[in-house]
Parts: sequence; C-alpha cells; structure tokens
Amino acid sequence: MESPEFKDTKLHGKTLSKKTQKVLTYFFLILFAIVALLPFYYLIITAMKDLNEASTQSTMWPHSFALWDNIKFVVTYQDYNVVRMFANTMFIFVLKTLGTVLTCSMAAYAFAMYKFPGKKVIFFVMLSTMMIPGELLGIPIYEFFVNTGLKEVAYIPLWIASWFATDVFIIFLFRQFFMTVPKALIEAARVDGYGEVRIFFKIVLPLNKPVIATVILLYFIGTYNDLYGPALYISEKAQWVMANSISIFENLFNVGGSSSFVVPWNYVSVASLIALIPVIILFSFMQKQFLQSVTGVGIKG
Amino acid sequence: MKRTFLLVAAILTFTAPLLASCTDTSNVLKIALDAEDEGRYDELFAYFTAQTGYPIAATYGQDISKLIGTKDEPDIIKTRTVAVTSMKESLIDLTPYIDAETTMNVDQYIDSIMDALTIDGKVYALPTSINTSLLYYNKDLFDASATELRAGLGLGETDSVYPQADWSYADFQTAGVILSKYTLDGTTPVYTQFGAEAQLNWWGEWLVYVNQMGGSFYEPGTDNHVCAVTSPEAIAATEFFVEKSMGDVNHKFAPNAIESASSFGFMSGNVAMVLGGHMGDWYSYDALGLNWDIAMLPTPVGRPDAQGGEISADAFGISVRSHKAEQAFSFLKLWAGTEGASEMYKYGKVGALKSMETLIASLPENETKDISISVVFRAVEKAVTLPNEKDFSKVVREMAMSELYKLMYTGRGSESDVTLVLTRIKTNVDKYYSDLYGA
Amino acid sequence: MEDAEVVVKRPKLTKAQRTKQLKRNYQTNYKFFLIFGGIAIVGFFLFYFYPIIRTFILSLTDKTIYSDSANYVALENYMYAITKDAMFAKSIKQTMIFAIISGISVLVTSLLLAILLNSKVKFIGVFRTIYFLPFIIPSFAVGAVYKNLFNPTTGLINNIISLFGVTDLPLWYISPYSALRTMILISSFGFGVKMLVFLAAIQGIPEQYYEVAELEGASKVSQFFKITLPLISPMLFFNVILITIDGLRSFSLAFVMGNGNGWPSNSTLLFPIYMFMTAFNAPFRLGYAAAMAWLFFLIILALTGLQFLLSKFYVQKDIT
Repeated sequence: MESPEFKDTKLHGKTLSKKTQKVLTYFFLILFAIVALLPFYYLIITAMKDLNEASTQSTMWPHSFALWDNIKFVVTYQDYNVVRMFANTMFIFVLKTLGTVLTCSMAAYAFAMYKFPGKKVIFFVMLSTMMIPGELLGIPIYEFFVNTGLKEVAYIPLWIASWFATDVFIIFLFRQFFMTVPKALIEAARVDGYGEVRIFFKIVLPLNKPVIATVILLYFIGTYNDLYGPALYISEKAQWVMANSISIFENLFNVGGSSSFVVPWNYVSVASLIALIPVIILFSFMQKQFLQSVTGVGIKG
Repeated sequence: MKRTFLLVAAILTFTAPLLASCTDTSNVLKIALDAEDEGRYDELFAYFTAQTGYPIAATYGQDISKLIGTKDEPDIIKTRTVAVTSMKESLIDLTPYIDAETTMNVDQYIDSIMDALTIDGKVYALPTSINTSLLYYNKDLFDASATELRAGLGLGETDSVYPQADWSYADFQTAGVILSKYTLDGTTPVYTQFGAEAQLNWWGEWLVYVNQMGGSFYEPGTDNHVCAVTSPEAIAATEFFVEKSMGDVNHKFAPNAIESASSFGFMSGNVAMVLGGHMGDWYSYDALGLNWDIAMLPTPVGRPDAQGGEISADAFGISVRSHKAEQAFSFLKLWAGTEGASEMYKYGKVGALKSMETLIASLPENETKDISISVVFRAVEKAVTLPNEKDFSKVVREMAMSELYKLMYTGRGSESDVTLVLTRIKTNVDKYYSDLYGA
Repeated sequence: MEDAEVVVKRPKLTKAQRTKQLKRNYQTNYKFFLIFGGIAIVGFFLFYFYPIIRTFILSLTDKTIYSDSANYVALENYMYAITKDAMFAKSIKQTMIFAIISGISVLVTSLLLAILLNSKVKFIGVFRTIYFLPFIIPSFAVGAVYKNLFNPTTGLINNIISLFGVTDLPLWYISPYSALRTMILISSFGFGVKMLVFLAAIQGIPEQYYEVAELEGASKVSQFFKITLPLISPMLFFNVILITIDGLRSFSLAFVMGNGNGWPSNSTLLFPIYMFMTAFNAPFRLGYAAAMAWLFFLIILALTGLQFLLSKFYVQKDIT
C-alpha cells in the first residue's frame, strides 16, 4: 500500500509546502532514531571499557579502551560455547515454531470458520487465562515434568506446550487473517469435493505465509532471549542456550553468597552484542513479510 | 480397550517415579551446590568415596527451593542460619547422629552459630562457612591521606594510619571526614571521594549500629513480635547512621542515596571504608584489584566491648525424604569438618570450626590470603546472630529499610525527622505482627 | 453485510425437528470445530486449567515451600490479602498505575511512530529496522542499560538535560517519588511489535480515501481522526489488549530496577515482584502467594472485560 504522496496539504488550516513536510519528517525520524539507538550506543561503549570502568562507573564515553581484551576474554572463556548454545536454541526454536504454526492455525481456523455453542465465551476465557502471571502456572507444570522424568529430555518442557496451541496471541492473529480469506474460494473447493481438512492444508494455510513469518520472527526473538524457561529446567552446561551466553558473565563474580557482587558489564555487553548479530540479520530479511502479515488483519474485524 | 489402556498409562506415569525413589537402593548421595562450586570439590568427593564406598552426585546452580518444592531434592541440602527456621520442616534432626558420634560433637563449632542452627534443642544443620561484619578499608586511599590522618587522629610518626581494633565511632568519623574529598561549587560541596559507604539496601550496617548501641530490633521477651526501634539506643544509632550521609561537611563522610547510586562505592575505588559488608565480596574486591584489608568494627564512644556486627553461616542438613540419612551424615561430618573447611578455604570461605584460626595458620604460605585474617575470629567473638524469626528479613526490608531510605536523600518525598520515621516503622511492624498472630 | 430489512420469522420447531437440526449443525460445523480446535482445548486444560485449579487449591492452604504438610485454611489467605496486607494493596496500586499510564504512552508512541514510519522517504526501511532494535535487547540486560542512562549524576539523560541549562535535575529512579515514573518512561521504549502492527494497519488503508479527503479540503489532522483512526480500530483494540497484558505482567524491568524488592521504598513494587518475593524469599509462603495471584487474576479479568465492553464503542468491524 502506498503512502500518501507529498503534496501541498493543509495541516491545521496552514498550508505546508512539500519541502517543509519532507524536512519535518526527516527531522522527527532522525530524532527518534537517536532515542531508539541510545541503548545500543551504551551497549557498544560499555563493551569497549575495561572491567573497572564498565562495572563501577557510568561514563558516557569510554576512558579506557579494552575492546579487544574483552572480546578475547569472552570468546575464550571456558564455558562460552556459543556455537553449541546457538544450536541448542535453534533446536528449541524450530520445535516451538513448528508446533505453534500447526496447532494455533488449526485452532484459529476452528474459531474463524465454524460455529459452536458458546464459542465466544470459550475464546474470552482462553484470552484471559493468558494474563495470569506465568510464574505461578509454572510450578505445577514443573512438578509434572519432574514426576514424569521428562524434565531434561530434549528440552521437552520448553516446547511441548506449543504443540497444544497454548499461544493465544498467535491464535488471535491467525483468526483475524483467516477471516479475510474469501468465502467464495472455500465454497468452490467444497463444491469440487475437497474435504474440510484438505481445504485447510492445501488452500487456506499457504495463503497465510505472512502470519507464519510473524510467528517465526517473534518466536526467534522470544526463544533467543528466554532466560527463565531454561533456568528452570536445564542444569547441564552442554544444554545451555543463547540467553545463558550472556548471563554467565553477569554472574561471573557471584561466588560468595553476597548480593553486592560486582557485575562485569564490559563482558556482558560483548556477549550481548555477539548474541545480537543473528537477530539483526534475521530481522532485516523478514521485515517485509512481517509487515505484510498484519496488513490483512486490519481490514476485517 | 482404549480407555483401560489410557488409565493404566496414567497410573504408571504418576506412580512410577514414586516407586523408583523408594526402591533406590544405590548408595549414591546427592548434594546440590552453587554454580561456582562446580569442579572445586571433586577431590574431596573422591576421597570420601574411597573411604566409605558411597559415591557423591553433585548438581550445581539449581535453586534449592525449586528442588524441594517439587520433591526433587538431594539428600544433602544447603541452608543458612537465616533460613533454617523456615527450612527446618524439610530437614531431619541431626542430634541422634551427632550423639552417636565419638569423633565429633557440636562444641567444635562456634557457639553462636550452633545456637542459630539449633531450634527447640534439635540441631538441623552443620555449618560450613561463616560471614561476619567487618570494617573493610582501602589501603591505597589511606596511604594517600596519611599526613592528614596522623594529624587528625593524633598518631605518632611510626603509628599505622589504618583502622585499629580499638577505634571508636569518633575515630571512625574523624578518619572518614578526612578521607572525604570535595570541591566547592559556590557554597555546595561536590564530593569526589568518601570515607565510608552507606548501606541502604539491607540491614548489614544500620542493624550493627543499633546492636552496638545496646538496642535491638525486637523487644526482648516478646517472642520477636514487638518492634524496639523507638528505644533511645536505636534512635541514637539511627541518628549516627543518617548523619554519616546527610550531615554538614564536618560530619558527613558517606554518600547519601543519590550519591550512592552514582559511581561512588568501595569497589569503584573512591570510597575508603565499608562498615559491615559481606565476606562473599572478597572475591569481587580481588578481581577488581583493590588493595584492601579488614579491621575490627569501631565501637560507640564509651562502649569498647559493645556487641554488634552480624554473624551468619552457610550450613548443610539432611533431607527428611532421604533414605540414606546415615550415609549422608557420614559425608556431612567430613564436609563440615576439617577436611571440608580446608578445601573451602582455598576459595575464600572461612569455616565455622573453633579450630579454624589454627587451621589457617598452619597452611602453607601460598594458600593464605594477604589480609589480617585473624580479625575475622576476633570479630566473631563480638558478633550477634540475627533474631530467630522467620519474617525478620521480610519485615526489615519492607518496613524498616524502605522507610529509612527516605531519610537518606533530600528531594521530594524525603524525610528528616529520625524519631518520626522510627515511630512509623514501629507502628507498621507491630501492626504486621498483631495482624498475623492476633493481638 | 447489513441485515435484511425484513425480519424472517423463525417457525417454531418440534423436538424432532430440533434434534435433526442439531445433528445437521454437528455434521457441518461442530464436528470440524472440534477437529481443528480440539487440540487447543486439550492444551488449555493441560497447561492452563490444571495449573490454575492446583494453584487455587494451594491458595486455600498455608503451605510453604519447605513444609511437607499444609493446613487447610479456607479463605483466610484471601481475607488477609484484602484486609490486612498493606504491601499487597501497594503492589496492586503501583501495578495499576504502571499498566494504565505506560499502556497509554506505549499506545500513543507506537501509533505516532507508525505514522512517521509510513512516510514515503528514502531509507525508510533502515529507519524501520532501527526503531525495532530496542525490542530485541534481552530483557535482563535492558534494565541495567537504562539504569545507567538514567543515573541522576552520571547518566546520559541528565547530562543532556543539563546542557539546556536546567539546574534541578530529576532524580529518576533514586527517589521513591519518581521511581515508578521513570519505569513507566523506560517501558515506553517497548513499542517494537505494536508499532509494526499499527504501521501495517495504516498501510492497509486504501489510498483513495485520503485522496478524496484532500480534494474536499480536509486538513491532515481531521484526516487522521476521521479516516485513519476508525479504520485501524480493530488493530487498535488488538494492541490495547496486548499492551494491557504486558503492563500487568511486567516483571523483568521492575526486577532489575527495583533490585528485586521494590526498591526504593517499595515504589517499584509491582505485583509480580511482590508475589515472587512472597513465594521465594523467607518465609516462602506459597499458599498465600497463590491466593494473591488469584485475586490479581480476578482484577485482570475485570479489566479485560471492561476493555471488551468499551471496544464496542470504538471498533468498527467493517469498511466496505
């Protein structure tokens, strides 16, 4: 969809020239870009400071320059096996995404396409349970996994829920999108003798690639940054995930039981920056699809 | 057919682990340690296994409450003197095992620690490493101000400028003020260095003053249910604590709340002393390359024998659900005994044995630290354990420290009347307990 | 599609006829609803219903993490939380303030930014990526970064403000008075996803509408209120729900900024933090934490219901 072109338009009764509009737009774009980049700026300069300066001072420009030493320390740190952690994270990510795409799309299809007594109530209840603090739900579920001995098998606790359509947000997203599929198409398929299930897999689902792209992007970032899930279930170093790659440096000096240990922010920043590279790459590629995914959603309520 | 199959499967799923745990006849002893302990005690474990034939399976970095809460706990559980009151229902009474022992008894540990671990006459855990309040100081900063310190404290040319065991609050303050450097921006002093830190996030400093002045947090004889912070002793202690950060340039030697949040800190190298502190920070201080040492806590003027300073310890007990209590105890003897203490000292942990001081003295040169380690043992003699009250840390954090914080800065929402704030704290704490237990 | 003017009168059905119709419905609709939606319903029971019920049962006891047995205390926990626990009341108050204000500010910010990012200028794609960046920083690193930025004496924000000659610099997260506000401000940076949702929604509006409005001489502002807003209202509602949930469940930011205990002076004590403290700090009152969580859930339920009701007023379902 094209955005409105710049013409001489009225704003609050005053007329603004094409040029002024452009200048204003660029001005605000750059202003907010700076604001959005501030955290990154800070991350980068902290990675350049040495241990003392990074952990004990809040300078805005590095007084010491230890970037190379910091990188060397992080990369050669004994437990920092970033490739393995990345692979582990990818394993979880793929299983989670696959599970969600399959089961949530099916669930959304049910809510969008078929009638059922009390459908609205069911949806409302499901939506509201999503708002319960996850920490509390986690305890009984954790107990269950311990009792069945599945706690540390192939990261099962971390992705099994996604195979049961438990992400109501994604169901919501799929549902909105399904409501835009022209009914005529489905009717035609029915007339041609296609069973409902076949219609779903062969026709409807492929049309919804943008939503799938959204799920991929959101889950990638979510799984990538998830520290608490793995912390609960994983104990072996070989099973560590990307979030661990940063937290091991956060707790580098947490050895005496005191709560005031020093945090080596320089190492943490380097580890964070290394971890961010794949995410940025992914986002630059998927940006277009993600935007497309929601385009259809706003048209029909 | 299908239904019965599902039913059987469900029953098996839920009972199998139950059966498994009860029929675990192997001799493996499970212990849960902290993440940083990984790899440190393998030799000790091997030694124990060689002696007794029981293998040790250790997990690292797992939160013990999570393990216990989901009935996945190890045989040997780590606890602390502060937490043992809350955790005692998960631990067995060790007294029968200790009594049956001929090679050890509870007297070999520091008395105050054992008191904290003994509830209703039952011993729930054996201590392995202690923490006590100390006066930490930065030698480099003291050296840099040596001349002024000699003048201010009336020291001779050959006397040490460092904190001494007989320091009073007055000495502490004098040295602190000297070590606080500032420049004048008009009439407002802008500090670049401070004499001491102000501990605002937990009770590690304020409570020390209260105890040393002769006060206490709870009223004695009220089963720890009535607050005593409005006593004259507590008020005096709090005033000292507040004036340290908020006084005029002749009395101020610690950062206030705002200055604490910026780059002032012992670890930043621009604050000369820490009163209280935590022995777990030793590792951080070394990592940052600070030239530090420890001294006895200063005492209030006229009260050189004042008791104060906190003492707490890590301790290990045995789970109520362990099927191998006897085997576990044999490990506990070793772990909390001289063998374990020697190993742990290599990693900066000071054991709770009365013989610890001699043990350290007998270590070869390269294993000792470059600090006045004997100070720890002198300080322990004057230290006080925390009240044996399970809501203590909650009450102090939520109701006391949060209110005291408002005295430690100027700006919107700040307070300046010490007595008023302490009265408010007492009212809130008393109300909390009367609501909880009935009046 | 609008309802036909003429209302078709439904003939009264006999029991036999009704059963027949039910069977027909089942064949065409209900059956497939269950086939496709069945797994979601199973998932709901397994991963939500079961833990919720267990938690509810837990809330009726006085169980602590370390106790083997627990006593049944009925609704005592609930009564205590409502009538006597000052910290619970405080945490609910702080959470409501936080959720509502930061919710509104995130909504407004992401909408304005979406409009901005809709501009047809060069390198707009680059800008879009930049604006999405704060979203991908791991949550546990976010707090530390922002804490440093907002440090009253050495932070960049105050350094910049002082450049403008301001002398009485704000204390941000140090003062109990302004700590919550600072947290709200920081959470406003969490506009990533919502901004893109709005952007896509805005881009979904056909050109012609704006062109016609231009021809009729409408100003940009009235174009926004009469065209843009109504047409993106379904996504607006979607974002509102999303933002509310985020705001109410916010944990990481408050945990880092409040040092895990609502520092300073309980001003950043959001409910999830207080619940965490109750359950995992001495004396580990699990039963009580469960009761508090249930009360909180009821509050959330009410709030969401309210939003669904309000949505009837501003969400337009169709634009044909």
